[in-house]
Amino acid sequence: MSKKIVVLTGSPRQNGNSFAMTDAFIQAARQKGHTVTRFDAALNNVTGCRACERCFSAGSACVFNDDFNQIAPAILEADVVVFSTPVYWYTMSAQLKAVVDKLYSFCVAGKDIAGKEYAVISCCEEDDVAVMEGVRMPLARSAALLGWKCIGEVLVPGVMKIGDINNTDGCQKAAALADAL
Amino acid sequence: MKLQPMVFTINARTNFPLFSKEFSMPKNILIVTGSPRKNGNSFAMAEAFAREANKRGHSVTRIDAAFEDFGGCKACNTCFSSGCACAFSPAFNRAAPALQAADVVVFCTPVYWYAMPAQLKAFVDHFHAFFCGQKDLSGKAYALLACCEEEDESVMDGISMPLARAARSLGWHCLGEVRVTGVNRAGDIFLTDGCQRAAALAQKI
Repeated sequence: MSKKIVVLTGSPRQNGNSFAMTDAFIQAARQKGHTVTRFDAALNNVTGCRACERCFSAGSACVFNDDFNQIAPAILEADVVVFSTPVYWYTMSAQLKAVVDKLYSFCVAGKDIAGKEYAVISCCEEDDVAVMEGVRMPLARSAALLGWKCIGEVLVPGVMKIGDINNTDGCQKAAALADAL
Repeated sequence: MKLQPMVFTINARTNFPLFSKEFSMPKNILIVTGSPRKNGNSFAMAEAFAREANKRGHSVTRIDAAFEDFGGCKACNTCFSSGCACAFSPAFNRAAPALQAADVVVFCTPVYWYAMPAQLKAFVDHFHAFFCGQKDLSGKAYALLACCEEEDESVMDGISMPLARAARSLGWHCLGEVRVTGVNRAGDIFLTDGCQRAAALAQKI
């Protein structure tokens, strides 16, 4: 069955390693007939949540109108949300976190966003995969709170320079993630 | 020093010229907050910490990340190439001298989605500038004042762990953590010992 997939990326590097994995996933998912909407948080402008709790009161998700409002309808409709990010200081990048923080808007407005699936694509410079816990754990607990089910995590340590990902099986694993859809 | 709207310095040293032996050497303390709620629970802890630190003769600078516009790191790696820390973030360039001068950096934050809020993370992400620009940021102490809605303290690990590992890679040591669970509405913190614990942590400086 064709699924609606939203891919949220956090890297500012357009040729970077997490983007390469993201591209591999998206290509594989589209080949299988799924619909993919991609939102590159670091190439858009999403500010943090201001906790004003006026979400959706003016129609769009956030009353502080930034690019989150462009992707919010697709997130609401999605069957699957994929989070793709490099590890910055042992957790996701600030740009992706801003998108995650604004998921709060759906909760405040009582929108039904339960029942989705999610996946994580991430990479880091260090060789220790435990570094990824700062990305993995917050997303896993957030998903549990939202009632989302994990369909896979592609966590690749030991990559930094652009292209390093090609020395790993990261892109193959990201493409294989599409099999879990 | 020209005062910036959200970066203000309270120099309490001059207010306390007579140090008794129990007072340690005056230190530069930078409190960085992550909450967008001005009357919120983490802010109350920040104020309790600042008040105690001031009382003990330390110099306290405070930056409220949610009222700044740090923006994320763009990984351009041009940090410090034109003199200032970041080619894209005037807000971080205003904050950077306080960070460099700090003996103690206090992260004070609510937990948003099991991690620090994006605004505070944006500040932290800009630490990359000091690596990239080969500026020494080592030898500081850091502290964490955090609160969350849930009762389960392990919720805080999404903040504690990244900060602890970041601190290790920066060469900072931990002064202590105050982690308060079960607070949500503004004022809930006063039903806990959070502010007292924050003040007690300031006494360890």
